[in-house]
Parts: sequence; structure tokens; C-alpha cells
Amino acid sequence: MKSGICPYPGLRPFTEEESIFFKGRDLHIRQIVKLLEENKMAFITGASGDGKSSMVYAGVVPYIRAGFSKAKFNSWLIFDFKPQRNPLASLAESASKEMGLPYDNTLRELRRGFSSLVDIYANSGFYTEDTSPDAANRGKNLLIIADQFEEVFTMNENFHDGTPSNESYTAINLLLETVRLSIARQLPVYVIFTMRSDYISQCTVFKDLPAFIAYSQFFVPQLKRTEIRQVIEEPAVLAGGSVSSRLSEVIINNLNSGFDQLPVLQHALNLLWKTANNGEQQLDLIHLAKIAGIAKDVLSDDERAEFDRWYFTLPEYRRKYYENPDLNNVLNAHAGTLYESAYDHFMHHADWAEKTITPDESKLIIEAAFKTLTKIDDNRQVRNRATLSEITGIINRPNISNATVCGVLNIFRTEDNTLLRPFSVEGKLDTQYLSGDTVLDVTHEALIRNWQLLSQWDAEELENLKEFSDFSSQVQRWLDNGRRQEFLLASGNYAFFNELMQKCNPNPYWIMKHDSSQRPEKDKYRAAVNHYEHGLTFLRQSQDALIAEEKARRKKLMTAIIGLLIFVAGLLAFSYWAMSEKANAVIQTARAEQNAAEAQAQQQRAEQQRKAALEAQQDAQQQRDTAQIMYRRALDAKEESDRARQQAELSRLEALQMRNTAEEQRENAVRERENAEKERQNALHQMELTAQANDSASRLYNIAICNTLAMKAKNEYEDKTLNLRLAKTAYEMSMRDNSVKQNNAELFDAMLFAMEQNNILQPLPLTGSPVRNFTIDNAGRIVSIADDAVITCHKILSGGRTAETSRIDEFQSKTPIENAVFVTPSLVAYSTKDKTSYALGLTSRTRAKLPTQTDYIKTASPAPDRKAFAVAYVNGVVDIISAADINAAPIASRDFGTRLTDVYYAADGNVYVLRRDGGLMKWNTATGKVSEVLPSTPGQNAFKMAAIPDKDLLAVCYSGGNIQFVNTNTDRLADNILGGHSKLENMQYDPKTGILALSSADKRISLINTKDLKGKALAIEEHSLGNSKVKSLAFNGKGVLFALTEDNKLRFWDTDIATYANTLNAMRLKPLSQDEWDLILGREFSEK
Amino acid sequence: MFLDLYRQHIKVFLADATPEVSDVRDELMSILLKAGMEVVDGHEPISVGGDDAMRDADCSVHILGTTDIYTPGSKGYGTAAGTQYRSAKLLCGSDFKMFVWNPSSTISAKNAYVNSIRRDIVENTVYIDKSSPIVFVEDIRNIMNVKQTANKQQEQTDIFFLYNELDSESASDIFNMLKDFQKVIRLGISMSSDVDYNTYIRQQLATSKIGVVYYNYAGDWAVSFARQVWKDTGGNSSRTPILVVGNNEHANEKELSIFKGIMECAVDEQLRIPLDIKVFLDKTISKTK
Repeated sequence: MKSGICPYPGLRPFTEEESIFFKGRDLHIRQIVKLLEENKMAFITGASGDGKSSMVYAGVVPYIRAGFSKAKFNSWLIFDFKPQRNPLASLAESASKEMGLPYDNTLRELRRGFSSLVDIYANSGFYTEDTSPDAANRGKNLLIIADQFEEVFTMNENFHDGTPSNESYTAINLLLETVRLSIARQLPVYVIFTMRSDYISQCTVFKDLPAFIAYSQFFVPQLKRTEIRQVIEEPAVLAGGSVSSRLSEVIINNLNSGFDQLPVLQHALNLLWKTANNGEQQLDLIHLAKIAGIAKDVLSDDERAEFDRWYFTLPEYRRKYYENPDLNNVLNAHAGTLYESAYDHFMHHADWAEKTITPDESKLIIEAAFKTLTKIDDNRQVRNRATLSEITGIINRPNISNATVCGVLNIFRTEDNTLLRPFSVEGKLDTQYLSGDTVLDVTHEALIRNWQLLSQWDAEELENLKEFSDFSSQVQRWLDNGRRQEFLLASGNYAFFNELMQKCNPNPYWIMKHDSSQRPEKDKYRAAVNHYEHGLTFLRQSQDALIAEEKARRKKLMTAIIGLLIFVAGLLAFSYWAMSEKANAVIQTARAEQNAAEAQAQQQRAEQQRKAALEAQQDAQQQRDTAQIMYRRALDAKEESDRARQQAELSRLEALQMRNTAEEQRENAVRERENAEKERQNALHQMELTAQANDSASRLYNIAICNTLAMKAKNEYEDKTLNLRLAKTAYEMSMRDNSVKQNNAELFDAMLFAMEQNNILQPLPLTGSPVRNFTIDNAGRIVSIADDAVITCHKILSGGRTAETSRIDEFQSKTPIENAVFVTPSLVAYSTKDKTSYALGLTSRTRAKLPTQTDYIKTASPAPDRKAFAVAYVNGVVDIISAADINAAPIASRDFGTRLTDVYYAADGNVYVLRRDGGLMKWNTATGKVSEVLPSTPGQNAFKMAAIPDKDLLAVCYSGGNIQFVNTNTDRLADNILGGHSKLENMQYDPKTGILALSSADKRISLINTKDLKGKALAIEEHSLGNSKVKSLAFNGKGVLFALTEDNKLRFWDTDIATYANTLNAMRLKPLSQDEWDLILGREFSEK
Repeated sequence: MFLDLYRQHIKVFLADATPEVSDVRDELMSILLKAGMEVVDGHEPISVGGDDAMRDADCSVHILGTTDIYTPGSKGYGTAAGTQYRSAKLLCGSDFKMFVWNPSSTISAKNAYVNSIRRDIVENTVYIDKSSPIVFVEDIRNIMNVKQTANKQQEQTDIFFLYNELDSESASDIFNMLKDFQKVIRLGISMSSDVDYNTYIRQQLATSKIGVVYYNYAGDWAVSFARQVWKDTGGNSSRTPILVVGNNEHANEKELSIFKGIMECAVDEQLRIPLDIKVFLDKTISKTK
């Protein structure tokens, strides 16, 4: 049954009516009730948003009303109030309303303090000393709840400059005296306070309050993981819905501790419930993604596709909120969306308001309203109640009335949103249209801290306020000094404050909002108007003064400039004349001086010339003598030089000739060297070819010897250790050269043969009746089912021995088994000869009869998560059965109408079904859709499938010996190889080694390495199988293959040849003697 | 007292982890021991799946690294960490809880396999991605120490009939009429009593076919009381439906309107109330059939 009620209230606290959905605080409620019973008082403190109010109204009150606490009377009288702007008036209002007394009388009585409250109660008809049942029926216990007690400190009217108002003091005196008298006189009167713990230090201003807090404090504990889980899941269950475990875990992990934990959680849960079709769907991750609380990466492919389809239907402005999805972002996205869509809501819903605003003005109204409804108190962002008229006044635009503001804000007050109080109710006009004196309030401060746009507005508002405060100081100084002109603003300050007035656009209402004095509202308003007008006058007069000052300054400047110009012109003219005269005088003087100097210089030059002429005459005589000597010497030198020149020319010609000869010789040498280099390269190439030929020959020789030794090891000798030694030597030969495949088939077969000859490989002994099928469990034990349905479990001991560890024989069947399949090591499905089929759980030891079919079970396959399994019957029916409840009817069933040979239960609910005619079908069990993956193969039958999950392949084997590999992602044929030369009957894949084992009708097992599908497969030949056909195969998870053969024996082999080589090494076999080499391989081989 | 919560013995199977988180695993083991828990080391070669040792523990702890241990065919699927993870998933139930710890939040953002694990979380599986091992171990202790209140076996009955002592006289008349035809247990609530009504009512309702809250004078009480009982006994998912029935001498339908869509309510004449209760009982029985 669905209640149709949203069990999560969102951002607002739980009400008493909603207490049925209030979960996670049961222990704390009992502790508070006990505190009340013993102390008559509980002072509940805690961080903002930890659910104090909800705990009282939806926890304590319903608990005591239900009679789960001990009290004198059967019913309760409750005075609950918030201090607001006058705690005494609020208390009086609540008391008068609950007791039916006139408010004024009650307030007058309460103003006297002390026992006034107790007297009102004790003298009313709600209290009696009489203990008769009738009196007990009339009487009522009294509970007083002072909720949000911090308002005594946050409201300026109650507390200013560290001093409480008289009303605050009286209210607290009344409450504490009431507790005192209740204890003293054993009255059924109780008092609960709730207060944010960050205001506790301020309580010391009230004389007795700290002692009472110490006496009865209850600090709200943070919710533990299990309690948060209750908060998330239990309300949904109570309302008939559910929350997925994975959603709970994601929310718990993403939930920040501390501030706002519960409001953010409750708000997100409220939206989740609505997104999940009001709880009709299970609340899940996709719903969280749709409210921008988690990235879509966490969703499954299908959910992501659904999310994308939905996301692209959203308007552009909403999509930006999905860029940083987070639980705390849910509230931001919700409030942001309302902000963007408020205009449309207003236009379509507020019929009573004039539609004279633009979308931008709608946003301006919301911004102004929320700036008004919040404030910064001691660096904390807190609520600030305001009336609708105050908000309209602050907006101060002629086209915006109270009705317009109310209409725009209504989207934040609807029952679905509840971000602003009072809330509106659909269809109730009186709750939608508010009068101007209605007080609006932000529902929870979590909105202030989580709506990013609001935080940004608050920061701007704070900045404006600081600057306006500075401006106010300047105004006040001007006023204090008789409005003297010297105290008006200078030009820089004027520009700054003028810009502030444009930006902040203050008005008396705005100024009044920030007036922290305790005077009455009317006085405040009058003061704000004065303040505003003085500010405007101050600014205007500053402006006038600046203009006048500027004009005077300009006039002075012009006069000064003209005077200066005249003076400069006169000065320039005089300077020009004086300079000209001075220049002429200087020129005349200079010329006279120049003439005198020249005359003197000419006289001196004449004397010098005379002296020089005399000296030159003497020098000329000396030079003439020297020249004659030099001339003679030069003649001698010339003759000598001519001789030397002739000699040098001869030498030069000779050297030129020698150089030409040397050049020719050098060119010859270079040609010779190039020829030699070519010959050396040829020689090297020839050497490499020779070496490669030698290597090839050596390798061929090694392979030949290795293969020959392997073949010889498969002969029978008198000395059976010779087989071992030959196999070992062959292996060692293969190890010499990497080109010889060490895991080659010949060598493998030789190893097996040699070991069989020496009884090292023996079948495992099994006790009990003939085995029908077997498997290997996680611990490496052999679990088998016999023909009579007895299950045995054998542990493998060293030395090829086994020990039976357990046996299940309570389901022993008189009718022999036709076929049995191990679905998992702990679940077996089988059919008896009379075509009755069973599923047997080995851990639980329970057996269920499977739905009656007309044929035997052919095969079965578990789902990857093991929660279900598919059973295929020979006649073509496939059933899907729950592993948890094998007795239940099949989850799904389908008749394929043809003989089936194998089935594979893949991930995502797909079942591959192999038809005997070779066709491979895919059945989607969720949708019922069947598609053909491989067509039938005329002339060939298919018998088995094996999944290779690490390569996304499915191998199908056929009677012709070939194997087809299908890619399970694309359902296309990926490869096709030949796996044997006769009918392939069994197939098993080992994920550890990547080996695919196939048994064929020619009594042979092929081991194909899936990492190299084209490579040669290893083979376990007929002799290793005791000349019997294989009934079934299994790997033990460590690379060891087990086979049950038709001679009812269980054999096993390691698929890595190195294991056998290690065994041979450990046997310390003697090497082959020279005679043995000669005898077995011939002298020629041994000599080489 | 809340200190009682820390006294229970918890046996934790610490599953093997992939190499890149082996240091984290060592540190976690020390912290689990310091928290007073018994730790079974899944790294020891007990068996490939460690099923027996795991079954013997109260819960298992699995640490996620960068290697995928969960998706079939992935790198870590065949490791002991992967095998033990899958074994624990099969074991999960009311007696066994599975804790999956992702100590590095950067892994979840980049690894699709971690997201697939988060999608696969079911009841009794807890996924924690806080990086502090202390926070993780505190959460284990908190979740494992939730006391399953042992339901005291109360008497099996058809009708559990509840009323306030104020209305004891008229309630007795109804009780006397009912008891001749049905098995009825009655309880009169008195505010001045020391009885732990809350616990007793929860237990007795669990073994009753229907609960009936009757009132005549005590209307205020009945509304609060019925709501509290409905909440404590599982609301709409409770197996025992509740009928709130008032005597029309003093009760009116309006005060019961808050229960609309949540529980059955009726206001009737005193003499017809036993019949209303019988009809409600028959309807309940026929539904359960």
C-alpha cells in the first residue's frame, strides 16, 4: 500500500504530523525524554542543520503524547515559540493562544517575571491536585518549547552591543524560574530549549542560564552510518516504497559531515522521491543523477542512455547545473532552476498581480528579496526575517508592488519547493497572496550556504554595506561641523561614492534593514529617511561645491595665462633688440683682434721661412751625397737580384713537375683501395651465408635428433627406464635451441608414453559405483556423481592416491542415471532413465525435482553471477532456474523445437543454445528475443561449446573435427580451425593457461593453445587414455586436465611439458651410454 | 549506554588484495587489531576461495586497487582477491556482511570497474570510499554492532487491543464481547506507569493478526499513540495492520483524517465497534490467505 505522502520533508523540519517518517534518532529521543522526566528541563544544542527542531517536534512531542513517558496527566498542553524580535511577546502569544486567554492580559502578567508563568498554569483549569480519574482526564501536563533560542542573540532588538533587551531578560527569567518551581513543587511542567551550539558562550550574559545549561544540556550527537541509513531507507519503507542499497551507500559516502548534513540529505531525498514518480519506482542511482547529485559515469549503459535521452530535453539554463554533480549541488541546482523559471511561474499562476515586469526585473526582485532575507552576523551568513513590504520598499520601483514581489517569490514557497516561509498551498488563495506585513523567512540556512548565487549576492551586499558605512561617516562629519564646505567630498571621493550610489541604489528601507539599534521601527524608518536625505544632500552639495570650485579655478587660470602671454611677448621683443646690438659689437671687436693677430703671425712665418730655407739648403747637400752612395749600392743589388730571380724560376718549374707526378700516384692509390674494399665486403657476405647454412644445418640436425629420440622413446624396451632417458634427452636437445618447439606434440607424447611405461602416470582410483560425471572444486577435490546418484568427494593425495572425504547417498536412486551435469561444483543436475530430472544442491543437501519434461537433461550452464542456471533438454527445451530456490518454477523457459547439444549462460542474461544440426541461437531471457548466430551445417553435427571469456569468444566443435570461434560481443564468426580428424565430442577451456582441450571419437585429446590458434596442438594419444573414449573433461584451475574415460577411470595430465621434464630431472636418470646412442640412433648420429 | 556498542567481538575476514594496495592492506590489518577485532588473514594459503575461513567470520573486507578484480575476463579476475570477492558475494546475508573499501577516490573517477561495483551493491554489502582507514574501521564497528533486539516471544493472538486507562470502562465492554469469539490480548496505557510500553507493544503486535487502538475520551492521546505505534512497527510494510477506532460519543472523523491513506480508521457507536473489529480481522485474514 502506498500512502501517497512524501516521507521526506525537504529543507523544512519535520512537523508533528510527519513524525511517522522521522527516523534515526530513536535513542536520542529516549535520552531527552529521560532528561525531562528527571530534570524537568532539556537544553538541546548542536550544529546548524543537525535536526534539533525536528527531533523535538517530530520526536519528543509525539513520543510523550503517545504516553511513552511518565507524567501526571494523560494529555499535554504545549507552548512553543521562537524568540523572534521579542521573546517575551512570542511566549505570551503562544501561552494565550493555547490557554484561551487574552494576549494583553497574559503579556502584562508575564512581564512580572519569576512565578508568573507557573501561576497562570496552576490557576487554570488544566492543572489540578485532584487525583481522581475524571480530574486526570481534565488535567494537562505543560511543555514549553523555546525553539531557535539563538534568536535571542541574532536579533538586534533582543541583544545589542553585548547587552540583552529587557524583554529577553524577562523571558529567560520566567523560563528558568518555571523549571525551578516545577522541581520544587513537583509540577508536571517541562521546558525544552533548542539552540545552535556556536552561541553557547553568549549565554553567560544571563546570570543563571549557564548553571541550568550545565544541569540539563543535551548535545545532539552526529548520526552514525547505520542511523543515516535509517534516515534514508526507513521513511520510504514506511510509506510503502523502497531505496536501493547502492543508492544508500552512494549517498552516505558522498554526504559531508558537519554543517548542513541533514538538511542537504532531506532536501535531496525529497527530490529523489518525486523524481521516482512519488515513490512508485524504487529510489535508485538514476534518480540521483537526474537531480544533479551524481555523475552519470556511475550508471549502467542502459541507465546512461535513459539519462541522456532525458537530459537533452532540458532547457539550456538547467544543463549547466549538471557540470559538477554532487549531493551538495542538488540544492544549488534546485534553487537556481527556480530562479530561472520564476518569471514563467509568475506569469501563469499569479492571476491577482499585474504583469508589468520583464524577466530581468523578476530576477532583480528575487535578488533583492534574498539579499534582504539574509545577513552577515559576526562573519556568519544567517537568516534575516523581513516583511513583504520591506522587500518591496528596498526594491523601490514604481511598477513593482507587494503583489508583484509576492507573485515572483511564490515559486520558492510552493509545497514542492518550500525554500521560503510561509509555504503556499495549491488552490488556497490566502496562502498564495500575502499581505504586506507578512513576515518572510528562508526555510533553512543550508540554502544560504549551498546556493552559490545567493552566496555571491551576500558577498556583494557586504561590500556595498562597508562602502556605504564609510560614506555615512563622511556625511556625519559634515553634519557635525555645521555643514561647512570644507567637510564636503573632494573630487576623488565624490566619484567613488557617486558610483557606489549608482551600484548599491540605497533607499530608506535598505538603510533601515542594516540599522542594528534597538529603537522602534517607526523611529528607525524616520532615521533612515533622514540619513538617506542627508546623504543625497551631502552628495549634491559636494557636487555643487566641486563645480563652483572648478569654475573659479578655470577663471583664475585664464587671467594668469593672458598676463603671462603679454609679459612673454614684451620680454621676447626686448631680448631680440639687445641681442642684436650685442652681437654687432662682438663682431667688430673680433675682427680687430683677428687683423692684429694675422699681422703678427705673418711676421713670424716670414722669419721661420727664412730659417727653414737655410736648413733645407744644408739638407739638400747631404741628401745629394747620400743619394750618390745609394745609387751605387742599388746597382749592385739589382744585379744580384736578377741572378736570384733566374734561379728561383728554375726551381719553381721543377717543383710543378713533381707535384703533377704525385697527384697521379694518389689517384691510382684511391682506386686500388676502393677495389680492395669491394672484395672484402664480398668475402664477408660469403662468410655470413656460410654461417647461416651451418646454423640451419645444425638446427635441422637438432630437430631431427630431438624428433628421432622422441619417436624412439615411444618404442617398448626391455629396460623401461630407457624410454624415460630417451624422452629426457629429447627434451634436453630441444632446450639447446630456441627454434625447436619445446612443447612440441611428439615430445609431449613421448614423455607421456615413457611415464606410462614406468607406471608414473596412473589413473586415479575412485571408490563407489561407476561414475557418470565429475568436476573439480575450488580446493582441487574431485566431486563425482555415480550412476546411482551417489555423490562422492575425493581429495588427491601425493603419489597418485585419493581419499574419499565426503559422500552424499541420501538421494541414491534405484533407477540408473541417464545423464548428469555439474552446473557448479556444488550443484548437479541429472536425469534418470525414466526421464525424471533433478537439481541437487550439495552444500545445502537439498534436491528438487525439475519441471517434468519429456526428455533427458542434455547439459546445463550457470549464470556468471551464479544466481541462476540454464538447463537444456535433449528435446529442445531450455529452462532458467533460480539457484537460490531450485524448488521454484523456472524463471524463464523456451522450446527450441529441435535437438539441443549444449547451452551457455552468458553475461547480461543472454543464453547461447547449440542445436545438434550445428545452428547456434542466442536467446535474450529478459526480452524473450531469439536470434541466429550461426546457421546449421548440413552434413555435420555440433556437440559442444566452450566459452573463452577473457577473449570474448565462444568455441563450437563439430563432427567433422573443425572448431568455429564466435565473438560474443559482435556475434560474428571470428575464426575457424581444424581441431581434430574425427568427431569432436567434449571440450573444456582453462582460463589459467589459455588451453582448449578437445576429446574426439578417435580416442584422442587435443590441447589447443588459444594464444596461437594456428599453431600445432599438443595431443594426448589413445595409449594414454587406456584405449577408451573420453566421457568428460575438467581442468583444476592450475593447468591440470582431468578426463573420465569409458573404462570408468579418471586420468590427469599437466598441460605444460616442463612439469614432466622436472619430474624426470628429479629422478636422477643416468645419461644415454655410447652403446645406447649407437644402438638406438646409429653410429653416424652419435659421432656427430 | 552507547559504550555497550563497543563491547561486541567482531571477527573480520581480511581478503587478499592486489599488489598495488598491499601496503594499505597491512596498515588496515593493524588498525583492525587495534580496534579489538579478530582478523582472519585471507592472504594465507587457506584455500583458493577461502570459503571455510570466510564462513567462520562475521564479515569480510575487500580493498579495491587499480586492478579490476570483479569484471569477468579482467586482469585480476583469477587472483585470490577476485576469487574471495566473489565468494563473499555468495555468502552475503543477515549473518554475514561484506565491506568494500575504495581508499583512493581518484580510482573511482577513472576506473569503470569501480563504478560497476558501486552499481552492484546490494543489501548487506557496504561500499565505503573515505580515504581514512580509521573512519573505515569505525564504520565497520558501527554497522556490525547494531543490536538486533531479540524479540521476546509474546503470546500468539488474533487481536491486540490497546486503549488509554481513561477509557478503561468502555474498553472493557468491547473486550468482553470480543473475547468470546476471538483470542484477544488487551493493554490499557497509563501515563503514570513505569512499564516500557514501547518495547512491549512492538513485540506483542508482531505476534498478533491485527492491532486495535480504541478511544472514547482520550482522542488526543489516541492520534499520537496510533501514529507512534504505526511508525515503530514498520508502517505500510508492517505485517500487522492497525485499526484506530473511536466511540462516536466523543470521537469524530475529523481528528482521524490525518491517517487517510496510512491506516484504517473508524468512528462508530459503542455497540457496533466489536463488529467493526471483527470485520477488519476477517478482511486481514482473507488477504493473507
